[in-house]
Amino acid sequence: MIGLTLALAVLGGALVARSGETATPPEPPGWSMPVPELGYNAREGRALFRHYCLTCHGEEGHGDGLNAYNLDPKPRDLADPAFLTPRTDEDLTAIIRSGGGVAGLSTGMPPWGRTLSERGILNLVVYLRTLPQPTQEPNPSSE
Amino acid sequence: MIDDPRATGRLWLAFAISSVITVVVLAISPVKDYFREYRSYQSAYRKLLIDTAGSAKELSAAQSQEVAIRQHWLEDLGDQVDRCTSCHLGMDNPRMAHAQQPFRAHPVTPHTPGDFQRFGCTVCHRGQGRATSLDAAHGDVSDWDRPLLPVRYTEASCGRCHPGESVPEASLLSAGRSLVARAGCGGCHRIPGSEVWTGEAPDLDGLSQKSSSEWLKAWLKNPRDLRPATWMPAFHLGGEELDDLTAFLWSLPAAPGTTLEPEAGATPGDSERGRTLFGQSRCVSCHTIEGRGNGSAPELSGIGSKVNRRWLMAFLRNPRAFQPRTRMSRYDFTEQDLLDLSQYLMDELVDPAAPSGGAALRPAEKSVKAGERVYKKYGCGGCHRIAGRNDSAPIGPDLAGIGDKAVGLLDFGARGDLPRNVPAWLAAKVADPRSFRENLKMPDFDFTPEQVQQLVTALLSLSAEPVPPTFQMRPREAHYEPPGRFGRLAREYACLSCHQIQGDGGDISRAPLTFEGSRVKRDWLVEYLLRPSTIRPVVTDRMIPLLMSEETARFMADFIENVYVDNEVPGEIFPGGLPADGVQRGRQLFFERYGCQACHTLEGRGGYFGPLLDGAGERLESGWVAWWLRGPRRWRSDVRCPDYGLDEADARDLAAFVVSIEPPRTPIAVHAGSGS
Repeated sequence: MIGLTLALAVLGGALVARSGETATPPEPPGWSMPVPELGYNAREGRALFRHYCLTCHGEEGHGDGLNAYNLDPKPRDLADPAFLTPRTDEDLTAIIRSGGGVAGLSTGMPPWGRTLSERGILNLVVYLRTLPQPTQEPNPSSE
Repeated sequence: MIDDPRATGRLWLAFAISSVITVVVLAISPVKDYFREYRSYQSAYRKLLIDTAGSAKELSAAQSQEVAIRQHWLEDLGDQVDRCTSCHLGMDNPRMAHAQQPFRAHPVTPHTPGDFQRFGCTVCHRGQGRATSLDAAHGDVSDWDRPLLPVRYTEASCGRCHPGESVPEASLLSAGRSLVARAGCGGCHRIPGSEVWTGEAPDLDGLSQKSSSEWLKAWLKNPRDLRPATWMPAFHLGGEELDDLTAFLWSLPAAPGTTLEPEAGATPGDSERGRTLFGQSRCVSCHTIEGRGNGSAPELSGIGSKVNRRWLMAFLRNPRAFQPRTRMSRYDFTEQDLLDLSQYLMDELVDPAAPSGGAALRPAEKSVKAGERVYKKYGCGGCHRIAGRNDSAPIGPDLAGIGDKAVGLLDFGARGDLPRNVPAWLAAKVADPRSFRENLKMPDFDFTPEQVQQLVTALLSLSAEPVPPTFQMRPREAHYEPPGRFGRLAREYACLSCHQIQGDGGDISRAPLTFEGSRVKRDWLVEYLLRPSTIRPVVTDRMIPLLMSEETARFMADFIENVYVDNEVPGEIFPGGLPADGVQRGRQLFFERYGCQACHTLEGRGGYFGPLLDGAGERLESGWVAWWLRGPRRWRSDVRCPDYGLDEADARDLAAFVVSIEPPRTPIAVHAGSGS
């Protein structure tokens, strides 16, 4: 009887002791993997930007794309904080969805609402917000 | 019954002690649970909700929250239970988009937030769903072989259910799978989903009549010294292995029917005329010259130092005779064309740093046999072919299930600096394969960090766990062979290297030919096949002049016009002629209402991106234009012309205007010169 209870006590103690154990050693110093620049939404937005927008708005959004040469007015410099900061995400979504005319801007900017999904436009807006910074701070949700 | 009072007393004591110990042991679990992190997180979250409540309803909802385990029970996914939401409380609350972890909202993706109930968390993020403590839930415990996947590789999990090279809204995974196909991993490894991989590596017959042995040796030593953008990896051969392999390859006879006449290629050609021909032939639509050009075919700037003129002329005359798997088209060059073009290539496209000579190499029999062993050792036959040999069995490990592999089964070798998990091992292996041990055979691909991330994402998607049938997506197989005489011509001219028909083919020309007959007029098509003109000025990868005969062009145009049609699309919708008021209204719509000149050049103004519209009526069927305007993505989903939501009247008037536009007064030059 006493042996059985002692055995139970030992077992219980062992269970408590084990639960605090972790198996992986801490990350070795000096080894690090490159942190990706952009999070998922911005990355997908960038892919859409490169496919649909880059030709007019340019690789970094400065409005200097290949197609811009012969256009008047010139496409917007999207990386300019003076343009981007005052506009809310809803403003940008409306322009992308319905074209430049909806914000009193040029109809040279077409309406993309029937071409892009709502999620696609959302991702584009997330990407646009990353444009004014020269280097992107690491995405907080990645390691 | 025991009468002895001392024995009874001892018994009562034993009972008391054992009762206490039992209660203590039973209390261990509740006490552990009391100190788990999720309780403090849930209290903190409740406080956060109360502090940020925007209305009385939200406040009372927050106040009534209790501390309890939260879980998703996923019966369809093998009865998994995911308790991640016990700590990750703000996951589906959009107001928590910028909160600190663990409260941060999950980013919007195709499956979130809509599919939390259906998928749970661990199917994408791995980890141990049933656990209720932080370390155990994240899988940071021994004997849990699926720890949390680093966020940078999450798209690997998309690949478990979504097969195919291009997965929408998973750009890292898609890029990784494309890279696996292009870089030739399938040459050495069996990869599920890529079993029918065919490489771009050339056949190795008859190298002694093609090149020089010194060039060959330099190439085998390090291909990137001679051609920095090559897809062939570096095997770092040295010394005897290098000499023996060169000897073996040098000894290979020419493929049947390709032995060259010794005196061919002696007549000099006109290099200047060759230069013009080179520009007109639009070789850069596939090849690159000093990095400029499409890139789906090799860099040509050093070709004059690699091959001899005799071989070059024979190859240009009929590429498929020398390389049966090539994607290169066959131009119908005349003999004089071949003399001039090859003279130009040999004179101008030379690499002064490349070695040459050694043509008199007569390798010893022993060296050749040793070279054959080297050839087999490194599995060259996995990518290259030699007539009459079958060396294509992959020499590398099977990669099925590599994404789920138990980390204890991986050989870390000398890489004690790596964390002990599968993604880190894969990344290090792909980036620097031979750093793990001596005498490993995997070559060096020189991938950039972005490419490593893409590749590891693709590899981690190779899972051994079966996916329940209701979740598994079907791959879309597109394999099309044009029939009959048209099919034979299409193979000779390699149309599907650049064009797509019914989803199969290359993507250099972005407009699919599946419904070309409904789109263009027959006479224009005949003329285009004979003398291709500029449709989109901004594009550098243009249709090549195949120099086919008139009869061939007429036949192919008739076939396309009659077979590759969309039955619903009408041809001519203005049989009685164009309505003048419709054309006038269409002009207004074009320039003022819809701003089409943003991408289409017309009468000298507008953007370059879309096709030139001057003379569009000679090229396009009016019915097709009206249909296009009402839904440009009908024939291809990533078309860049936006859908303006036009009604029928607007589309009709715009179509009338577009087909009314006169061709330009000075005709657009037919690919004049090089570089245009």
